[in-house]
Amino acid sequence: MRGNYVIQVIRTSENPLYNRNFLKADGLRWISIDIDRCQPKSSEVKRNQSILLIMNPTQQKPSAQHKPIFAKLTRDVFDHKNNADYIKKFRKGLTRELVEYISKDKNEPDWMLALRLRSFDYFNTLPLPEFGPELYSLHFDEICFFAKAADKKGGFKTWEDVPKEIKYTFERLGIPEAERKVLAGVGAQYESEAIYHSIEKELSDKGVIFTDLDIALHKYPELVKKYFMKCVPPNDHKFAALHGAVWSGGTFLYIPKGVKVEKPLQSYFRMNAMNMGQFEHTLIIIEDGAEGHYIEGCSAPKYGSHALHAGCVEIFVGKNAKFRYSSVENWSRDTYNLNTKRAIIEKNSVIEWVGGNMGSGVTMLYPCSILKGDGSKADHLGIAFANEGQIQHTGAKVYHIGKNTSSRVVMKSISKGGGISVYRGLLRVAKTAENAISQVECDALILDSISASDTIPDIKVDNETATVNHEARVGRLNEEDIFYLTSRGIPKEQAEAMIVNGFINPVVRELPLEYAVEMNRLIEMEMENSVG
Amino acid sequence: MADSQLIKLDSANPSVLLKRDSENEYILSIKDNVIVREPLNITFNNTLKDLNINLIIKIGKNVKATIIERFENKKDQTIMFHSRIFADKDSDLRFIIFQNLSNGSKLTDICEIEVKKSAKVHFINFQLGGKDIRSTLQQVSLNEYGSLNTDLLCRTHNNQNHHFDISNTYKSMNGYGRIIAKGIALDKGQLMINGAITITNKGGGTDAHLRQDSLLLSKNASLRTTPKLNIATNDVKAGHGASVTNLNDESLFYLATRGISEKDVKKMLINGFVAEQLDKISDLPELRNEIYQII
Repeated sequence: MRGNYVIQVIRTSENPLYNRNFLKADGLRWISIDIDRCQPKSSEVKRNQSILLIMNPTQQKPSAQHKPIFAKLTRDVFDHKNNADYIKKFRKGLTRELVEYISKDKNEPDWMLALRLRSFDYFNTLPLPEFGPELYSLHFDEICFFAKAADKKGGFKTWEDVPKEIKYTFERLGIPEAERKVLAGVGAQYESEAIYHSIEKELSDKGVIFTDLDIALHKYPELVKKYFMKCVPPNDHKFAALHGAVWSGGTFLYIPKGVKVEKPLQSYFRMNAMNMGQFEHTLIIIEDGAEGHYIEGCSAPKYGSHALHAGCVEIFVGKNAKFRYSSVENWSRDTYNLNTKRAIIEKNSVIEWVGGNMGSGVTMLYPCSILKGDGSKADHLGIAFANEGQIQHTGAKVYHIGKNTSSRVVMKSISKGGGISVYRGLLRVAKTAENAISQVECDALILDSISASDTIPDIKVDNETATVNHEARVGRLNEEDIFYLTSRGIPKEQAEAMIVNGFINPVVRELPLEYAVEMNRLIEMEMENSVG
Repeated sequence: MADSQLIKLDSANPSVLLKRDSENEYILSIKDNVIVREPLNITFNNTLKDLNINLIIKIGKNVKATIIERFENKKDQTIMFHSRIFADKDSDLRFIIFQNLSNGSKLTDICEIEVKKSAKVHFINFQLGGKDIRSTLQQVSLNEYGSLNTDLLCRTHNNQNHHFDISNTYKSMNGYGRIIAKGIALDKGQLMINGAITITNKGGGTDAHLRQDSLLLSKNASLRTTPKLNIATNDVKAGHGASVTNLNDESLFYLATRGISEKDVKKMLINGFVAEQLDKISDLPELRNEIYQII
């Protein structure tokens, strides 16, 4: 099996039925693995024995060599508020004047101003989506669409230069530490603008560009103009139009032909003020033969008053290239997270989406892969956790257009405390898509009788050589599994959290170790009733 | 059949009554505690160009019966058919629709079924003809231990456009149900199957599953399938699956290498695909053979 594992030994087994067998029960997985192949090793583990394990990284005692960066995250970290008064300089509400002001403040070329104004017109004419959660409670005139906390174009060069309060926030989130230990580069955005960006010199020497998109618009204007909002046009839907009008900050990642970036690059987006709106734009261009991995994280403090995130991610994957986009969304419960993510994949290329949606009160997020080139592939792996007061509408959209394309979607959702999780999927196989193969699996765990889960896939096939399979299961935690663990002295809440960690394992194990720990920590916080 | 008569019931059983309530409304009722051994055949007036029928079927307590509705004609018709079935406590109804209308006919068929405590309804729907078919089936289990099962077998070819909506809703505890829908799209046929299982927050202990499998056998045919789950409580076993494929290449090759012609191989594989539904009417050999012949 691929991936790093942080493990806790539950018990050893003499029974050959368990050793080396892969058992499946009620959609959960029990795995058996030789301990010698596990890293890092725990001193408690007996060597040279096949043992039955449940992955539970938070239980591991940190060794001298390994202290997970995000293992100590608590709700306080995410709810930390910076009460500086910069927000008083910026007004709420969306007007044409604001759109013009944003463009002028950034000294943008005319074509970008024209795009913003066109988008503003679309926003005023397009209706709200006819599907999904109710959005009428979102009042646009109560949102601040643009605010600068530090007013430093392109961000600061070092963490030492970042204003103290902002730096403190990111330190508690573990971002500088992650940059030192595991990342090839970091971008940090606070409110509407980047406050820090870095990339390893070795990569920039190879021509890799990783910078704030506001800066890229000036430094690489032709490249940005060629791709900006071509994958997600402003008239695509109402929130794409809103984004086109008021976008600010974000990430520009360009990997030239044949360059393989081994370590991941990360951007972290933080909202701070009450009623804030964040509209970062992530534009990623992977040239032919290139490879890379990009991670996005986000959070905001809770005020009990609405905030809005309508970001946009556009990814262009060239021929024979491979790209992984990972994200861990952890906005506060008063945030509307209405994000649009889409990728166009060329010949013989692969895109992998790995995502965890834990936060926000209302989420509508459906990453989309357009398999344009022959032989292109898409993998969508996602987790959604809907706790009290949350509605998680997540899913995946895949369009098979080229020949011999394939896609795989694995979605895991958990509902608790009255939360509602909805998988909404779209699969289209065009007439031109000879020999398309698609496999979709959605599993939902409902942890109590007041929560709910819906699964709404839409499959349309116009080519007779396609093979498409979809399956979904909904259920509760297996009582026998809970009894088994509690009878071994494990408290019930911990037993439930362990089983839930096992349930989400197929997705979590695709993340780098540190981010797998972060994901598991966030799940643990949700299971602890740490309401944000 | 006289022009004024819209439907006809083929049964001499005194416990089964078909009454005309108004110009186009009929009520079919079966008294409590009756086991109807012979299937009840309902046929429709196939001479009228436009047909609009409301049929209410009341199945009494502890009744066991099979009802077969046949939609067949030689001349094109436009048919609006709305049926409501009320299955009382502990009843067991098998309701079969056999539709083989002419190539120019249109059918809008809405069937609503309410099932009371421990009642079982097995709805088997064979849709093989007609140009434009819009069929909606809504089954609701009102009380505990209701069992709602649906089998749909549909085939579109030529320029047919078939659209099916099937939903099972469980409003009470310990319900059970399987929806199995199989579709075959040929030539320029357009096929759409929407399935849904809804379990309300009072439906604890329910075990329900939805399966939609389709064969897309022509480059000009088109197929759309949306299997949905709406689950509002955790004490359930619920799932769905859907597949869209062509005939399996390995199976085609295997049989062809045994000297079987391509045409016969395809026939065999399609027969295998539809066998599951047709086995459910193995006690009705004439109808079963008729369907095999058509497919």
